[in-house]
Amino acid sequence: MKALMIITLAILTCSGIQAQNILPNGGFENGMVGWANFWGQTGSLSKERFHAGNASAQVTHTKTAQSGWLQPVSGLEIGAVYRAEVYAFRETDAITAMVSMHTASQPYLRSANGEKMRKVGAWELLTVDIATRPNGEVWVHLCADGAGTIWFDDATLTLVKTRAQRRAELLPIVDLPKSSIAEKAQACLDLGEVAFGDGDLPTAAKYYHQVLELVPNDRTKCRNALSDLFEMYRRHKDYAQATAAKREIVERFSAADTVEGAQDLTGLAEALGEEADHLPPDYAGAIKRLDEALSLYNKAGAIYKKIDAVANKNALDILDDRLVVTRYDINEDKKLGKLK
Amino acid sequence: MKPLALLLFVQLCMLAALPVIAANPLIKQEVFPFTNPSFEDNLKDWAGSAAADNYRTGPGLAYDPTSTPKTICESAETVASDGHKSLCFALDKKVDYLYLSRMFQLTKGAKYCLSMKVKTVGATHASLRVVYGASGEPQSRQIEPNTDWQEVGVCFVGTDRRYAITDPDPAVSYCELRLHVFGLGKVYFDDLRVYEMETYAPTLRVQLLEPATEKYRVMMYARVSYPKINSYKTWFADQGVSPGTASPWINLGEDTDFQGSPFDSVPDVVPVGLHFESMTGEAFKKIKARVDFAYGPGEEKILKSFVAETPGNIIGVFLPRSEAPPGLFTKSFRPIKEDVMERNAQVKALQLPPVNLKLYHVEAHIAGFGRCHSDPEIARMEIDTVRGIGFSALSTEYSGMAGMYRELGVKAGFTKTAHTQRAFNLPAVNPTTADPLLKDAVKKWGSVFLLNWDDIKRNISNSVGQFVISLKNEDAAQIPYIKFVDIGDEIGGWIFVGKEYDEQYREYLKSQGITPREMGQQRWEDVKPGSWDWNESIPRRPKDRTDVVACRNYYWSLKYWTWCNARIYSIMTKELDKRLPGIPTRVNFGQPWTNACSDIRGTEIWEFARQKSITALNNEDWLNTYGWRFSGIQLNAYLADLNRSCAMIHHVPVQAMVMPDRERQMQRKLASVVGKGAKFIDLYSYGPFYASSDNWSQDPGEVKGVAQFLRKLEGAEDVCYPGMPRKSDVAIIWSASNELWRETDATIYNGHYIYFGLLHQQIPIDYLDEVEIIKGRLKDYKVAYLSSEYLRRDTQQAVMDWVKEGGCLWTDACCATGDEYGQKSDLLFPVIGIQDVAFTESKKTDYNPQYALPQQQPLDTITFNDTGGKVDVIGKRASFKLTEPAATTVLAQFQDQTPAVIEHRYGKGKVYFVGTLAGCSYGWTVKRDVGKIEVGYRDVNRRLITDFIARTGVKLPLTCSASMVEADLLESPAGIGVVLTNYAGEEPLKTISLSITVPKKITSVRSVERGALPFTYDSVRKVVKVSLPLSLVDFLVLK
Repeated sequence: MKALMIITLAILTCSGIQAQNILPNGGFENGMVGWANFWGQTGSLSKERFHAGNASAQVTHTKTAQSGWLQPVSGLEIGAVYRAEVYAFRETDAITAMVSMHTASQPYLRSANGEKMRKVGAWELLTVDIATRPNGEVWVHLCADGAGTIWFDDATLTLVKTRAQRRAELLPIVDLPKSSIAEKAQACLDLGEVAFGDGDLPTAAKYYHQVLELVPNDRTKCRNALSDLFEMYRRHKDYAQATAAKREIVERFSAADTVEGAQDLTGLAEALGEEADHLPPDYAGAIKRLDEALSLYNKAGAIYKKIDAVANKNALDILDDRLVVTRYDINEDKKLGKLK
Repeated sequence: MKPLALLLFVQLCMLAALPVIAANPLIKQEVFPFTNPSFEDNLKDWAGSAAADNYRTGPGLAYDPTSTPKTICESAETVASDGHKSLCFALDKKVDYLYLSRMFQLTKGAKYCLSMKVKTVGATHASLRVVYGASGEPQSRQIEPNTDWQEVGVCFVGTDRRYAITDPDPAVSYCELRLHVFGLGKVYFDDLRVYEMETYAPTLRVQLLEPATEKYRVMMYARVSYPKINSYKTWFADQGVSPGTASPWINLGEDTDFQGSPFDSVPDVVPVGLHFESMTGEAFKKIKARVDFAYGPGEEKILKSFVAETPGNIIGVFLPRSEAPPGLFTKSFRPIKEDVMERNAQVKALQLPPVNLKLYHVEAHIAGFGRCHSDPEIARMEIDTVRGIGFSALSTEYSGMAGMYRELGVKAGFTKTAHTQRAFNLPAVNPTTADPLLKDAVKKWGSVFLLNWDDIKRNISNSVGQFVISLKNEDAAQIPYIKFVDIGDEIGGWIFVGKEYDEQYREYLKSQGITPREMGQQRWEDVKPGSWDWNESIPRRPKDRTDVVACRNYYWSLKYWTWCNARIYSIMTKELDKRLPGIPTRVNFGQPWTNACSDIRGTEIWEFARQKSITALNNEDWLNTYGWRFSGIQLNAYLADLNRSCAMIHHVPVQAMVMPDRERQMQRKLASVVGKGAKFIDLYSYGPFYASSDNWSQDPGEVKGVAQFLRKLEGAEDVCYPGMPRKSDVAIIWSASNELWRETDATIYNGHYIYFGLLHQQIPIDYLDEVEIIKGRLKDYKVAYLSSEYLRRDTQQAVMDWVKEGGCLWTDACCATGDEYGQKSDLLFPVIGIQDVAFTESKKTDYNPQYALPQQQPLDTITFNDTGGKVDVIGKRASFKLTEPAATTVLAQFQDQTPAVIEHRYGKGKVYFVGTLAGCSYGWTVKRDVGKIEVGYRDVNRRLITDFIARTGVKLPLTCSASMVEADLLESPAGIGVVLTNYAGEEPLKTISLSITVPKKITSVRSVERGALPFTYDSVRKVVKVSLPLSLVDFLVLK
């Protein structure tokens, strides 16, 4: 049983926590159930070579190519660190392998690639760690690169750092004088995520705002911090704060007159719409936000048209729809609130 | 939608009735493996007289072999297709499955076709099957009830598969013929023939004549049987066919999808669209092509060829089923266009006057362009056909009327259509979740969802946005013609799991005034709802009713589930209204007697109505007189009244999906729904056959019935369309709790017949559910009918208070003896005036009127004190003592002289109690013949239900001299319309006399069938009296 092998990995010395595999069918004993062959029809089940049990997954490239097997896993602890491991085998160094993971939480993905394999003609354990983002989903990729065949077996996914452990690691980075500003900003972003996972909104907000203070010119980090902040407030039904996060993206980190700028305006308008939806019986407040949303949709539409109305037809169609809906909501709120 | 019950395809059936022609090229020779194949020697060699007992039944079914006459016999009535005798199955009681078998031998390896003539009398079905040595053990198509002699057959290859043969000859194929029957009535078999066949299979060759400039390939679309429905396959995709040359032969018999099914609505034909495409997949703009159909590859085997020209690239053909009998096989191949033209000509041959309904939305569905053909002329002819029938609205299978269909439709006068938006995109639990609870739920149910209202709203809004964008991109000009949007079909609730669902449950319970203690917990955190798929609702019901906490959680879990689903539908409706303002939404709930419309499915109709989850109330009847009939086709009036009652909450329109039946019954069903106030009528589904699995395009009887009805409707449209039924003084209490706890279907059918009793006496009825009663709406009614075993306690209290204040309550042996938690209740006994109540119940728990209710045996007899009229006691008998003899009148007695029917004065009101299942006792006497309406209702039995109305002094808006006439009044400022439907029998009624109370003076009374009628007007009582004959359906217009 491959479970035996997994049990041997159960106690990780580095973390001290029990590593329970949460990746189904990592030993491929149930065929390829749960796995998808990405970037080509190159994969198959192998019963001829395996690390343990009776089967493995193989990827064969007749010429140099990249492809592999992937499996998404969701419902993971938010803000914790997970480790993917897999045994790989190759007969020639014309092909190599690695394990990688990425998160699946919009608006940005975090990815992590493990080391490429080194051994030839022997099984080698490949590994990679990743911290989950707000939707708690990661995709585990078993990647092959080159020409030849790679066999994968006994893939596992284990929790290696709880949020508490991660926090304990990150806090010193923020406090240490020798840490660079960029390192501190990244640590704050990660600590925000950890606090988000804990449901500790004030702390998360503090760290995310610290990112903005530390690296105000790092658009990517700042947008990521504000996007997380928006998502966190929205999930906790603090719609006003969620709108504020979106507004800050638009006001401080948005590229005007670009598709990204139009998308940011649309995002803010949608946040306002959602906020308005939860304001009644404050109908006047709701209408105020919807009026602003209407104006933002119009501005976004103007940007799309200015850039290329034909290329952006789909976005313009959606904006037209939003305008119709927002006008309806305004009229409805006026009626319900008996306002003119 | 459910598969349409098999319809007769008259043209093909006529072909089927022809004897297999000896000159048929598929037949090598006739062989004679059977002695006495035409039964001229009675049952000789068919087990002789022992055949009577030599049949087999399905598992668990026993049919009494001692029945008289014997089940299987030679026809005593010289009923024969050939010669003088036949084999007869006399099924004198309903049989679910039965067959007679006979072994026979054939030479192994050859192909054979075995055919017989079959005739059915009564509600019987028949087919034949050959097993063991026959390849595929084929079964013939099924012969429907009351069908004159028709040929059925099966084709097979003799194999060496055998059963219980000792010392077999290797050259012989050992087969067994089985004659299958079921139902009630008689089945005759005759003229058994076996032919050795040439090897044959449906084989096709095509040649693209124009354009002949480039290589081409052929994609074939086949409309196949459930569950697949559509099949696509491409030939010559690799090499292509060179221009100007014929394709290689295609053996369609090798492809499962193109083989066809004997169980399809037109059993021996497969509709196929031949799509000619360039090698890059481009469709040609116009083609001319030759199509050769053969029974095998080779010029000499060609049975039929034709050359067709068409705009676009698709030629539609009817292809014979692979195993069709040889007679049909050789004749069935033809272009779809021929069928289209025939049906168009059929409508014109009716020679009915033109019709143009301006107000009623009577919708036909047609489809097929782009799949089965590419000829706008075919589409135009189909549109002309349905317009000729009289339809006023057109849709392409609920997909609106876009592009060419819109242009042609509008040109033909269609300015109404409907569309479908059923994409909710609810936030689903990812199947890869690592959360063990969610993972388990996904494993168990497949799709489970999270109750995050922000995400639900956002997803639905995005989905509706995309829907409207796609409408605009497809054809923006179609939007003004859309008159409703269908957002669900035969709906069942989504399964929700997760902490949000649990949290919201607690909030819901708080809003209902429930405490954690009532749910058996100290803290709210420990209160959790049950989640399950709707078909688990009954199995999950607590079996131990003494576990009150479990019963409460079961009840509230289901109520909450409905509440969530209703809210989701209301979001969809709202989002649609934002983009398509004023356009109603509807769902097809499914019939309540299959526990649709109830919390069992998480889709309770009243909650949906209250939450404005839909803005038009609608249901499909799936009732007919040859298949599913349940309590009878008048149940579609029951559905329409239920829908209308729910629609009254927010004053939204009523729709009806009127499902197929035969000519006269269609007229009745349509009249019923119009009379109850339906303004949108969806005659699901014209089809046509080649494009839709559910279709009635090939049923000339239904075509005629619909065409005739719609012309009558047009004659009264100006008054009937704006009209609605006058406010009723009589309500029937609708108990959602009853559906959750009932142990048998007795209350369902009892309720149907109580409704029928009132309907048959022209008493208008509203339904009112438990919640509306709690809200106080009983005060709008003088009389309420209660026949539910289970009723919410607070509703019972409201009923009690209402009677005390002067309300008149009718009830029977289903008198709320249980509450919403399935617990016993005697709250209403003092109101009814009874004590020491005990019920004797029938041991037979099945009450389906179609087959089980007639099997119930009377438990007692009720005798009316005034006339001595007697009624059999069915299902349940109440024994009780009177609480207040001085305040009680005994109106009828059981055989032992104890009270059976009483009237008790309570407060300012009174209660009428019938000590049995009054509805089942009314329905028990009914006779059902295939193709005909139910007859045999007895006036004296109906008294149990309707006497109380007269005793309460309720004034009816309309009375009719003849019971069993459905007479519905539709009132508006434009006048009064009266819809009259003869449910008394198939014979015309020579005269019926109507008294109609009118609000103002009437100056004319006109019958749509008979013109102006003489009438009297009593200006003091404001009553119009008029008499007329009634054949089937008529409309009166009073102005």
